[in-house]
Amino acid sequence: MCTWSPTPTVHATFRRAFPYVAELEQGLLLIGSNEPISIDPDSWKARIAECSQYLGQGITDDCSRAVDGAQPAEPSYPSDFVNTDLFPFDEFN
Amino acid sequence: MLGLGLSTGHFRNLPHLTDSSRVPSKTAGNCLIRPGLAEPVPSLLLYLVLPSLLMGPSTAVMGYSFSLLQKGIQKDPTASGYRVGVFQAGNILGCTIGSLLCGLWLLDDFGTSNTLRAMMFIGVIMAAIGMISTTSRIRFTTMMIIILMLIAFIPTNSALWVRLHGQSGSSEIRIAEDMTGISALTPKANSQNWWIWANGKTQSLLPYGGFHTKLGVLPVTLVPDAGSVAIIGLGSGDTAWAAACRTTTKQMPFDITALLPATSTPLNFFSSVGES
Repeated sequence: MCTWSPTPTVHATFRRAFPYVAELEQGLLLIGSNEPISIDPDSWKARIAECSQYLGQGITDDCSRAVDGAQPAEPSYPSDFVNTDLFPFDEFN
Repeated sequence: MLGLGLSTGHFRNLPHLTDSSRVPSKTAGNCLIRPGLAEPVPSLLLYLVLPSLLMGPSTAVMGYSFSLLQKGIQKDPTASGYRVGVFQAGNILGCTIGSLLCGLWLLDDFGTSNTLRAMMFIGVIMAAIGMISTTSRIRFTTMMIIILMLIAFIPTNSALWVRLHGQSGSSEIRIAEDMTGISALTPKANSQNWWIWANGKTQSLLPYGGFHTKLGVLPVTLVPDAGSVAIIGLGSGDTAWAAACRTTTKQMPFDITALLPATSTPLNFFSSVGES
C-alpha cells in the first residue's frame, strides 16, 4: 500500500498498521507491506525508465530522484500517537 | 429563513483568490491560505469571524424561533405536554426528511443555490399560511415580501461556487457538484496549467506531474511483478493515470474508487476540447 503522509499522525499510524514500511520524499510518501521491502534503487529506476515514453522525461526524472531518497522507516513505537476510528485526530485538526 | 438569506448574502463579500495569494503546502496540493494567515489575528478572522458572519444570523434566528414556539405551545398547562411532544416529533421528522431530500435529491439535481431557494420558499409558504389563518396580515405580507427579495438575492449556482472558490466572475472556471461534494477546474495564472479542486481545496494540477503522480508511479515500479492495482482517491485521475504507466509493458487489473465522482465532470471539458 502507498499513501501520502502529510502529518506525523498519519506517518505513525501507517507504521503501526504495516510491519514493513519504506519512506520516500522525506517521509511524505510511504509504501507499506506485510513482507520485507527490498529497496534496490538501480532496479527501481530501471523500471521507471521503462515507462518514460508514457510518463514523459520530466516525470520520469522526478520519480527517479525520489527513489534516491528511499529508506526503510523506523518501526512503530507504542508511545506513538496514532489516528483511529474512535479518535480521528487528524480529521479535526 | 431570514437568517439563511442574510448568511447567503455574505458570500458576495468574500475576497477573490489569486494564484499569488495561494501559498504552497509542503506536500501534495496547495492550500487555500493567504500569506500571513498562519499568524494569530488572520486565523481568528478566518476561523471565528467569517464562520460567525456566515452562520451566526441563521443560528441566532433559529434559536429565537425555538423560544417563540415554546411560548406558543405552553399556554395551557393541561395540554402543554401533548403539544411539546407533537412539536418535538414534527421537528425531528422535518430534520430527517429535509436532510434526506437535500442530500439524496435536491443537491444532486438542482444544485446548492436552488436548494437554498427551495428551503427559503418554505418560509414563503409559512408566511402565506400566517396571512390566511391569522389577523396579522400586514406582518405576514411584509415577511413574505422580505423572503421573496432574499430569494432573488441568492446568486446563481455558478456565481455562488465561483466566488466560494475565490475566483472572479470572469474567470474561466468549470464546476460540478453532486451529493458527494463539489469539484472545480480553474486556470492557473500565468501558466498553461489548471487547478483541480475537490470540496474547496486544490488537490492536483493539470497536466499531471506533481506529488499525486509519484503516488501512482513509485509503488507500481517498486517490485518487478506488481499484480494488481487498487486506488482510492478524490477522482482527479492523476494517481490512476500514473499507476497505469506499467500497463504499457504488462497487463495489470485496476480497481479505482473515486470518493468524489463530481471531479470527473469538469475534466470532461478537456475531452471535448480534444474532440474539437
